[in-house]
Amino acid sequence: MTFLAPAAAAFGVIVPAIVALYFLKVRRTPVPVSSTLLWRSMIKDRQASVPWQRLRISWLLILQILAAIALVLALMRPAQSAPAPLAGHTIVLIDASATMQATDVHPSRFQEAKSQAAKLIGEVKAGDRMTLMVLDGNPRVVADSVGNQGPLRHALDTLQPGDGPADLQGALALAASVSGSGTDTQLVVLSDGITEPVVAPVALPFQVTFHAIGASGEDLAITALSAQPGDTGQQAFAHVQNTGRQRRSATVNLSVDGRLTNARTIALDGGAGQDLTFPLPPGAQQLHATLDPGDAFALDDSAWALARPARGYRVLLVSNGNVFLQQALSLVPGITVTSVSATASAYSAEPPADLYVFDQFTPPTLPAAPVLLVDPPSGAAGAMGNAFSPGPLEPAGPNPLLTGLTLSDVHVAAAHDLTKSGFGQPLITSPGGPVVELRQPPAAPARGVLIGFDLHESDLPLRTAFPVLIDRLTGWLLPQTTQATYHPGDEVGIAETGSDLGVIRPNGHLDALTAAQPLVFADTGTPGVYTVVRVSGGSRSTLSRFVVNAVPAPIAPVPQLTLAQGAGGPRAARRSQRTEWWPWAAAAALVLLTAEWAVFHRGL
Amino acid sequence: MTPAFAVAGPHDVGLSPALLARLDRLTFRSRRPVVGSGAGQRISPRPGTSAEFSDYRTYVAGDDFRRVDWNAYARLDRLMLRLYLGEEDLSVHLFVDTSASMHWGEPAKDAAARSIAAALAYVGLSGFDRLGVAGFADRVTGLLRPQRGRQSCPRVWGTLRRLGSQSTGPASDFTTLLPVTRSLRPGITVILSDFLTPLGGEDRPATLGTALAALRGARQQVTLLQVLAPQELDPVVAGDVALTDVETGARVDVTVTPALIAAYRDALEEHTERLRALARAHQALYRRVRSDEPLDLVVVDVFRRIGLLT
Repeated sequence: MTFLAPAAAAFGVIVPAIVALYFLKVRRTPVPVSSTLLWRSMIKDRQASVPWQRLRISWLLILQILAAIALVLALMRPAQSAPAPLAGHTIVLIDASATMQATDVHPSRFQEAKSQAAKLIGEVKAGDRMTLMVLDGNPRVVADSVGNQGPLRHALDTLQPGDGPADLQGALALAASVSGSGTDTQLVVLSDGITEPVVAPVALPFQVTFHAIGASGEDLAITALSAQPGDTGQQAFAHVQNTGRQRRSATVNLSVDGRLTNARTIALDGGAGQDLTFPLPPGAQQLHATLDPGDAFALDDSAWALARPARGYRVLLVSNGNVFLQQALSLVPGITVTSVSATASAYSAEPPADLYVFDQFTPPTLPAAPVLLVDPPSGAAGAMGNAFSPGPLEPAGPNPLLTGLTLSDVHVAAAHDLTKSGFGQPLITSPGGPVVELRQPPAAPARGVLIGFDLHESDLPLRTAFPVLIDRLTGWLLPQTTQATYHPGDEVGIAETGSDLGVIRPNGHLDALTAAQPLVFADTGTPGVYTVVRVSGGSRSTLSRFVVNAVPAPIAPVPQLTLAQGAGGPRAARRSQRTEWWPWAAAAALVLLTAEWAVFHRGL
Repeated sequence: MTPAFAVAGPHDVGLSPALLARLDRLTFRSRRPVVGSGAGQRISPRPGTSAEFSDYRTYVAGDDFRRVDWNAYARLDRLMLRLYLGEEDLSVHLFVDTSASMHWGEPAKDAAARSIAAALAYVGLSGFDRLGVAGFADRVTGLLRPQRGRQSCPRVWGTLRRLGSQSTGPASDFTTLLPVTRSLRPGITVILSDFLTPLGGEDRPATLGTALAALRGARQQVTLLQVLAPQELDPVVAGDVALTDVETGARVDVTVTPALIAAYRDALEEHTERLRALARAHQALYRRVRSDEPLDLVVVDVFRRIGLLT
C-alpha cells in the first residue's frame, strides 16, 4: 500500500481541530424562556461553563473523527500495486480443436474457453493491445485491437470449435511473429492441453500462461473402422477403445449404406479396447458405426468407412530387383503387383496397368497413367542432374502425404539434382536441393512421383516411414484404390481433372471445385463421407469418395502445457497495475457522515 | 368623579358581549353543600326548606327583581329582597399568577389568565356568589376582598387589569397564599398559573403541595388552571442557544436538535402528570389550557366539562 499524495496527510490537522471544537466553548444565541425547569431535567449537550471543558467521548465525536480520517485518507490517494491482469500486449490463444467439443465442462470446453476469453477481453483498457488467435489445425489471428473491446468480442462470438487437431507448433510460431519484439507481451493459452506435440523449439519472447480447461477424460471412442475382404466376403472391422478409467458399456451400431444392419453391446474396463467384426452384405459401399449411448465427446462416437471396390487394381513394377519396393507395394491393399525386368521389351509386352512403377528405368515415352519413378535415368522423366549428397531430408512444405513422417533421420548417400528436371513440384527436399517431386494434371496427363535417388543408396527403406510413404504415394496416385480416410482439416488432393468437378459434403452441400491446379479440397472439417462428382447439366456422376474421421485421441485434459525445450525466451517483466482506493475511502467518509447525521438527529 | 378603585369594562379584560351572554347561563358548581353568608343559589347544609322565609336584604343592581318584596317597597319606599332558608351564597376565590414567566409567550399567558379570571368573576358575581381576586408571585398583590353582585364586575375586572401590569415579578411561590387561606370562607378556589415550578423531589419541597394542603384545610374546593403558551408546548428554538430563565436569570446552554425537542416534550408531559397527580392527592381539579385557545371554548366548554361550572 502506497500513498500517491502523502502531502495530503497535512489535512490530518482537522482531527485535533474537531476535538478542539469539543473543548472550546460554543457561541450561543441567548433565548429567553419562561422557565428552564424542564430543559435542565434532560440536557445532555456539551456545556461549556469555562473556556475549556473536560472532553467527554460521544458517538458524534467518534464518528466525526472517523469521517475526517477517511477523508484525509481519500485525499492521500492510497493505492496498491499488483500485477496487471493483462500485459501491454496480450495474445489470447483459444483452442478450437476437436477435443474442445467435450461437454465434461458445462456447456462445453470451448464455451468455457470463450467465457474466460471474454473476461480477459473485459480487462482491455485504453492502450492495451490484445490479439485473439485460434488454435486448431490451422492457427490464425481472428482479431487484433488496441484499447477497443468491440472487434475482439465480435470475433469471439463468431468462433466455433472445429473437428481437427491443435497445431501448437504453428500457433506458437504465429504468436511469436505477432508479438514482434515481445516487450511486455503475454500469451494466454485457453486449452485442454491436447495438442500436437511441439517438435521444434520456438523462440518465445514472452510469458506463456496456460489455463487448463476440462474436467474428465472419460471417453469411449471408435478408433478404427474399415472394410476388408474376408473368406466369406467383405467384412467390417471396428475397434472401440475406452480411454477413460471407469468401466463403460455401450452398443455399437453398424449402418451400411444408410441402413442399420448390425449391433453389438460391449463392456470395456478403463483403458481397454475391443476389436469387432461384422459381416457385410454384398455390394456394401458406405459404413457408419455409432456408439449408443454417447458420452461427453460425441465426435469419436461415430466413424465412417468405404467398402473396397470389388475389383483390385493392377500395378506394374518395372525393376531389375528391388526387394524394398516389392515388399512395400505388396503391403498396399487392393492392388495386384506384377513385376517385370527393367527392359523395354519386357515393359512393352505387358498389358496396360493402372499404375506404373519404374525403378532405375524409363520407357521412351511415359504412359498416360500414374507413374512412380525411382532414380530414373535422364530421358522421358526429365533431365537428371549430377549426383550430390543431399544431407538431412525435410518436407518441402506442409503436405498430407508427409504428415507424421520423420525424415530427419533418413540418410541418402547420393541423389540426382532435380532442379532442372522439370518434372514437378518438390515434395521432399534437402539442403542440397529437392529429392522427391510430384506432378499432377494438367501439367501432366496423370499424376506422377519422382524419387531422385536409388533406394539402395539410402536407409529410407529401413525406416518405418518407408512403407507408410509408399502406401500414401500409392494412394495419392490411385486414390480410388485406397480407403481414402482423412482427418478433419486435411487437404484432400482430387485426382480428377476438369472444371466441372465438385465435392458433396456429408451434409449434402455441393462445393464446386475451382479449376486451379492442383485440385485440392480443404473444407474437411466435418467427419463423414465426401463424394467427388462431375456436374454436367443437371446431373451428377460420382467419380470417387473419401472419408473424414475424427482423430482418435484421449480427451483427458492436460494440467500443464508442455512446450518444447528451449521454447521459452527471455521473459519480459510483467507490468504492474495500480489500484487506487480513494473512492472507497470517500465512500466510507460519506457513510460515516450519514451515520453522524443520523446520530445527531437521534440525540445519541 | 372617578372611583377610588380601578374599574374596567369587559373589553378591557377580553370579554365580548356575545361571551357575556353565554356566561349568563353558567354558575359555579360546588361539589358539596356549603354554608354561605347570605342569600345565594346554593343548597345550605342547614336543615330547612327553601320556602321558609329567612330575612330581607337591600336590593342591589343585578339582583333578581323577581325576589323584590313589593309590599316592603310600598311601606319603606326601598327595594328589599326576600331571603329564604336553604338558599346560601358561595365564596369563590381567584388567585392569578403574576410572576414574570406569565408575561411570556405569544399570546402572553398572563393576558389569557386575566381573561379567564374575568370570565369566571362574571359568572360568580352574576350568580350571587361572593368572589374575591388576588395576584401572587413571591407575595400576594392586588388582593380584592370578596364582592357580591353583578355591579361589582367593573371593580373586579379593574383589579385584574391592574394585576397584568405587575406580571414581571420573580418566580412564583405558592406558599405566599398561606396567610390568605386562613381568612378564606369555605368555597371554591381557582389558581391560574403556568405551574412551571418544582413539584417536589428536588432540592426543595414543592410550595404548591403546601399551598394545596392549606387550602384543603380551609375547606376550599381547588381548581388548578395551568396556562401554557404554544411556544412552551412546541418550542421553536434550534441550534446552539443559551436559554435564559426570565424569572431567575438562570442560563442553560443547549444545542437544540429534533431529538432534544422530543425529550423536552417528554419532560413536559412528565411534569404535567406529576402536577395532575398532586392535584388528585389534594382532591383538586386540574386542567391545562393554551394561551391561544378561544376564551369561549375554555370557559364554556372546558370548564363545564371538568365540573367547575354548570
